[in-house]
Amino acid sequence: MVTRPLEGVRIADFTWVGVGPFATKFLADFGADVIKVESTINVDVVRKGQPFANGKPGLNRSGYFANRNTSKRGITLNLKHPGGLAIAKDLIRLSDVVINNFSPGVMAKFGLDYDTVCKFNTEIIYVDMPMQGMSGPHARFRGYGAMINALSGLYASTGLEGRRPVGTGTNYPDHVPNPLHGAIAIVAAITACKLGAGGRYIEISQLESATSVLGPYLMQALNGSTPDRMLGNGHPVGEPQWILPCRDGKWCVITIRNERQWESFFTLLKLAGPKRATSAVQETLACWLRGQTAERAMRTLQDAAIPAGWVKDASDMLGDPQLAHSGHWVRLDHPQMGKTVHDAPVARLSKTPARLSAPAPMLGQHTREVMMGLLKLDTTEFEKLRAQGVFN
Amino acid sequence: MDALKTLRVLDLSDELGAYAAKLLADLGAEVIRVDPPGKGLLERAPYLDTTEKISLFDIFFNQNKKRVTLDLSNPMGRDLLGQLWRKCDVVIWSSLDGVSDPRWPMINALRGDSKQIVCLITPFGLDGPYAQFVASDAVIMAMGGFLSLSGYPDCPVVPFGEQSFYAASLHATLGIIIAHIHRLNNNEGQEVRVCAQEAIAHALENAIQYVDLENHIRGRTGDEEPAIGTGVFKCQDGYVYLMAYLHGTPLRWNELVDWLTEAEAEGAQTLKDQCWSDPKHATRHDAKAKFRQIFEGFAASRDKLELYEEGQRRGVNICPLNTLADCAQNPQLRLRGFFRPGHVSSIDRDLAFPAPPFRLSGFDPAPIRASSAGEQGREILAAFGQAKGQMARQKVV
Repeated sequence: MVTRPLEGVRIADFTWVGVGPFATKFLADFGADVIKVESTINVDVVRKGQPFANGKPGLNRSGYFANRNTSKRGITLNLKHPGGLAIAKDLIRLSDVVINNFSPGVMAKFGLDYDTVCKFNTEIIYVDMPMQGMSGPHARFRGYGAMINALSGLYASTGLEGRRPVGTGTNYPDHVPNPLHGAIAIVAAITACKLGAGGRYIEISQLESATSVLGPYLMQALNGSTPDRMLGNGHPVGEPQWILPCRDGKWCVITIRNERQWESFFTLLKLAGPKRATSAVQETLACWLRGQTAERAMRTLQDAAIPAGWVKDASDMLGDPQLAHSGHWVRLDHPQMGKTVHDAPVARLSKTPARLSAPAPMLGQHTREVMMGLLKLDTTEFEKLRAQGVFN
Repeated sequence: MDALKTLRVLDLSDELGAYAAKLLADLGAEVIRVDPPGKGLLERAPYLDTTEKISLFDIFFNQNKKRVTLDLSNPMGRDLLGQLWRKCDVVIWSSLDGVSDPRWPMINALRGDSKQIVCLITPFGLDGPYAQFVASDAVIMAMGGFLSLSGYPDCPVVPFGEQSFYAASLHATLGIIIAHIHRLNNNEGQEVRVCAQEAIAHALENAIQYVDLENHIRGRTGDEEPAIGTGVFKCQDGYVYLMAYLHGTPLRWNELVDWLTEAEAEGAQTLKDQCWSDPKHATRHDAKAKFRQIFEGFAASRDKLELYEEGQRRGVNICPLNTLADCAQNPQLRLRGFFRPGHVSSIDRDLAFPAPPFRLSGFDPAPIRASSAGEQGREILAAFGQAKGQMARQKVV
């Protein structure tokens, strides 16, 4: 097996729910030793999130959790117990990175905030990923990933004119900008550390991170011009774009990006007249699409070098020929769930690829292994601490 | 110190990969942006004003880069590109036309014996059944499965802001920096390939696992709330987002009901009935409609910010559905200094920019400066030993 590029990096991972666990998953797949710290009293709530293997609920059966926590080790620790806290500190002493996505103040309450931690691990890369940052008038406001959609501007900007805004239908910031901005900041800090810069503190405000992916439109709002409230399905550059149904009930998506594509499009549909997205052009296209399947329409349009595709659902995705070709769907064998499907790491490195090295940890699966292996507890000490409830 | 100070990046991206080069510049890398003569690859909407002369798209993505113009239809231009390529640690190339892009043969030849980190971002990969396909953001969102989740039950809606470009670029940036770590350890370059369709397939939440484990295909839930009090509600000046239920469990339901009853909202008393905190009742269509009527009646005379601050004070999960104009005025973003001035040389004045998405101690991002296309061309090429006369004769700059 090829050595993965982040082997040797250890991450004490106090994150839970959406954004944090995805950030550390990316690093775990690239070889970092991510030790996920949970408690049996307050488990990562995504463990209770649908879907479950065979539809049967259970803390070790959630497919949602499984896909976000590959390649990690999982331990349980009661941070409210002095013995649990001492172990957390020992773990941090042996780690390169500490990360959490709690509300501001939670880590400080445990005495695990940056100022305290860097006293006993001066080289630590410490990451706070709260909702709205560690400071500011709304820093302590409550919320969930879904609310970052609303606060960031993404939700209100997505919808069709005359209808209520609809957003992305997912907790998008939890899946794309926020975990990835977090992981990127961490690897950048690791790079600087390798060049002798030492440890550092990283703060990701989930709100700032999510609103960053509206950058140029946010600049419009900041500099006095009013951005489109909702663009609907129109193309932002004003290029013609249609989403229309086909004979099989699937939706076909077509964008015309340049003059050459206009020419091909008009030739294909036997259209004449000025090259504009008029209602007559749309009607001809709609009629053409109603006469065939979305797959066939896409093929015909792509053969004419016109950007086209069709709206695939999750089942279509599992049968997608390109994703099959690239090996995007990986089946991992989980002790309780059996063989279930996971996403492969997206960035493909030709010499040091990422790999899903293990399915998501079951609750506390690696507690004994980490305590005795990494923290060098002997059996007597381990059992004594266990009896005291340190690993609850 | 700058996190990526020692890294020199050659940026040959189009819209699809522009954010990757932007993030590396944010982290302190020296990014050299190459544009063709005339209109740059990123000069497009949105614009600063209705004259449509100043592209904010170009300004946002090309901030803090050095910019050179090269005519790659000219052999001298291609030769200079090869020289620049070899002097950089990282090269980023992207195209919405993937391997069907007319530039691809040139890139393919250069990448062949490259010692650098070469990042190639395409809609559907470099090989395979869809590799020749050309794309747009909407096409990638469709083929990546996202439009089966976003929109109304009766119609897909493309998420605002061309999110597939960001998703692909974010995975690419992560891959590039990890490849850089490997290069620091082993002095070995490699390729980082990102297929945008995969980046979107990775963003489908739990939809794939629903099919795999429970044989259920998630659809577009649209603007109908999954449970009472969970979704978008109209208020005086727009909408608020309320979360009174999560995964079938009431969230701060009593605080919400207390708020509504204390404000003497019409019908609020009925919400005290036990049936409202029963998850089965909470997903009933008539219950959702009844709650909406009560809440929207209450909210009709209150604005977003008022509802946000008062609701939060009471421990209710509520926030405004911010428009971008609201974001620009958001007190949390403003008071944390998230918006910063930067100098734009094409208009010789400052514009407000969003700061980088992360804050690293010991690393103050450079003052923002957005150069015009080709602005540092002479300086960059001179550094590579090109005589001024020669450059002018070949009309490459």
